[in-house]
Amino acid sequence: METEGKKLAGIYGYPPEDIVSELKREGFYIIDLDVPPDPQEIKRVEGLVPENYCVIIKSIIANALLLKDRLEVVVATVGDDKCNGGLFAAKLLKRLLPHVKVIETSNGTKNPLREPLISESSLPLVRKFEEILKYPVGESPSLEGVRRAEADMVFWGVPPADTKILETIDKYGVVCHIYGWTRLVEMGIPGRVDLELEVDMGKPAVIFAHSFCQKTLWARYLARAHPQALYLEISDFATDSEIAKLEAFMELVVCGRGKVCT
Amino acid sequence: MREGEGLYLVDAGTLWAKVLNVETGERFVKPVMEVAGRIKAVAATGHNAKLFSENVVNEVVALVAGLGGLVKGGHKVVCDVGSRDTKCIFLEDGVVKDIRWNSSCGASQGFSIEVLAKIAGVDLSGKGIPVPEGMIGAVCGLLGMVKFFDLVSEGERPDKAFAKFVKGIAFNVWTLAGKPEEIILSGGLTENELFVRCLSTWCKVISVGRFVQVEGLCAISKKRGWLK
Repeated sequence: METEGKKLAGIYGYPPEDIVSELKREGFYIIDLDVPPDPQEIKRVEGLVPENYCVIIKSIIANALLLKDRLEVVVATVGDDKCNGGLFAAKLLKRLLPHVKVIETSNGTKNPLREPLISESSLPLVRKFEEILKYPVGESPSLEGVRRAEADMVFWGVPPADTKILETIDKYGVVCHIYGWTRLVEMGIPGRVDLELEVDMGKPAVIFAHSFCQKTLWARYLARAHPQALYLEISDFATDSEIAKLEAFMELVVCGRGKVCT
Repeated sequence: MREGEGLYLVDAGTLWAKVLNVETGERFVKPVMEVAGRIKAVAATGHNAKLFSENVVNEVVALVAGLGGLVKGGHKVVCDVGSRDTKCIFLEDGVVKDIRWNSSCGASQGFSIEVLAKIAGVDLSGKGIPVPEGMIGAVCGLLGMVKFFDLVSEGERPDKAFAKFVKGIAFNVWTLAGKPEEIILSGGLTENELFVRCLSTWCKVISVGRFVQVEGLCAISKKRGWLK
């Protein structure tokens, strides 16, 4: 296991880069606690966390408990750059893991650090999310050969817990630009909620949010205001119906009636 | 129906299979679990499509293909209301512009109506039940069922409470469809007279029955060479 013998620091959201850099200098291996673990592990925390609750917050608690014997630090984003759930998760982790140093922080960077090159490139969506999510853990994405490309459609939202959603979109061989919180992560400004609200209204859009997330309020409004948008709200892992809904939108709206793009 | 014989196309929904024998033209509707394993279809659509064929077509794609000339000319709204979910498709001059699909919250409409009809002791078709004044307002079939039981316990007659439930479901569908002046209605609830009359309270309803997806599947199967 790549973390064997290493000091572990867990992060969630996109903490200020100087905090993560300092931890790396101190020899910590940075783990992203937002990434959903095995579904069984998420089930195990349902005694502690309400069953009907954001899958990402549940993942944070589940991951922290899984790593409890090796985790020394948790850097918890608790402001506009994350959510109120992040704040309460930090308070809970302080109680559950008293030996772990939980640092509450917020990434208030206002001016973009980078252009949204990955978000607007021709990379498959799965790869885009993989590369963008290297930034919060203090790594640099691979940008070799990455070029801006004209969008066929857009995706608005946070990284889905179930990557099958992204894989389904990628099946159609389209160029999909990213908007919402994920785009802000690439730009280094996760707390710029004013920019998070935006999406390209001129391209077909998948507007995504996890069930029980406060962002569903805006997501649902955005999908209704957008002339060609599919509202996709998934509690944790997509059902067959939800994937069928996405496929129908891709075939009929993004690619044209009855026509598959590739 | 003889097992395995014949060329079949199947719309295999959550509860019901709509089957077309392409050679004889015979059509029937049976519980999907009664038919699964007994028929091998040329192609299938719907939630349980993979139980019948390896050639699977998305159910909304099949629906649009089956609607044909009905959806040409201006703005059209098609709603397919089944046991488990409701899909609304918005078209301009025959081209799909938008899809709304309640697969979780707001769902289980048809299924809930079937269950409550049995409990209320009424004909599932709603035949002879007048459209009520009020309705049960609930975002989903399951929450609506809770309100149904509350009404009955307060002294409401079960058939009247049932009618209010169905009207609430009809209102949900009309709302999901964006409150249009006209809805093209497909799916199992086209056979519920009460539902259609309730929906007609707010808009014109053009009922196209339960076999539109199968007809669309037929057209797509010919196009893809699965059927000659």
